[in-house]
Amino acid sequence: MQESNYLQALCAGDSKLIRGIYQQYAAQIQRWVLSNNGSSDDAQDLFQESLIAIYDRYCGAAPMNYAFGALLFTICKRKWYDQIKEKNRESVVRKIEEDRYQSDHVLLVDADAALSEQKKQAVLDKTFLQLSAQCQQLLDLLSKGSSNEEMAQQLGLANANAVYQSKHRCMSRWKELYTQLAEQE
Amino acid sequence: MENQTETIDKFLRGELSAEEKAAFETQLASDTALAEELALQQDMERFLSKRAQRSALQGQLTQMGPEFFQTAPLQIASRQTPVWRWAVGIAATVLLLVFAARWVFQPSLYSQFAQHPQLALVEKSASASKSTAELEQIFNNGDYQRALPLLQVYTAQHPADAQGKLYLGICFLEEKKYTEARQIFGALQQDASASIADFATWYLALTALREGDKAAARELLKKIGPESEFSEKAGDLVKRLK
Repeated sequence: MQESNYLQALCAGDSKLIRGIYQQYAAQIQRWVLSNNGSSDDAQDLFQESLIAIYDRYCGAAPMNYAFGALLFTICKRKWYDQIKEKNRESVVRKIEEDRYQSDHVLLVDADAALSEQKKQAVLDKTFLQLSAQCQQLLDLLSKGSSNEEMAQQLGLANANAVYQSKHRCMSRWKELYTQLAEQE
Repeated sequence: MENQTETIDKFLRGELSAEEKAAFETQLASDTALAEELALQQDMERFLSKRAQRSALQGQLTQMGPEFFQTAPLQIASRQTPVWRWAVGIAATVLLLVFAARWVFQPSLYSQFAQHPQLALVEKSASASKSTAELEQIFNNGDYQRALPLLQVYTAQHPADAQGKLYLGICFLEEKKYTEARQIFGALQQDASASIADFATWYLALTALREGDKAAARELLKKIGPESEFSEKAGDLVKRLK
């Protein structure tokens, strides 16, 4: 499979093709993590989270400037260094500097952008789950394109106008929760 | 923030009049806070449109990963001096104590996963009474014993409100009245709303978990499909149940 198809496969959730991504890169990343004080389980988690970071940043959003494999590997490295930085500060900082020197600047910028997008999505996810079940259900239905009348019926609300009011209350509450948490992190 | 949310929403949907739109764009050019809020609202909408698929992708990756990552064999030193053996013995004892302490002090698997959504009955109704607001507060403070009879009254008065029933089920579960909890969640599994049915299956699994029936919990968790918003949590819990 061509590298350019990997992103498409990921965005479409095509299991067969995603398996191809694992076949192509899993062993390489596992070897790298094992040689950097990590375990196979660490490598597996890292690989999965890095694929999600690519999904967050590039599916339905920004165009990808770089080859899939190079970007995936760079994100894995950045993530792993972040995780072990606390334990092993000096040698990690040295490795990051070496990396910065050896790697392409655009690639690092892309990897960092994907990681920060993933962090944003995590905060959105966390705060969405702090909303009431009613709000979660309403926003879910809304994203699926249900009409206000259908939603009123499903949610036990009086009418379409009540759905409209509830929607804005839920969005405002979500924004507040998001802003509070984003400031803390 | 609420009025702003409404204007931004109208702007994004192209529902502002030409005059309102021009005024909004002028304000946008000079008001950084408004521009940031607009960007956040766009992010929120994008998040919502990708949420179900993202969660499904996470489920797929969790299932696929173990096939491609092998656990490295443990490396055991072949020769150990008696001093080493002592050291290893002591280290093992310390480790054992640490794990024992963690086991004793760690919250149960149930309490790690039983994070209930906030009750919001007032949000739903324009004419919510004071007692409904009190009920919300009691439930959200975690006082399930007091919330239970109040929710029984509420659900009797609002028999069509599936959400109310769901929260009543949660109270029964928290009060360890498993039969009643199972009865409510079981009925809600058949609800027309996929989201309510999903909540119900997840809570049936939590009921089984709290009763100590891990096999039943596992079976129920398997019913939660990759498209469900609980798929990631369900995958995590299945792993922890092994």
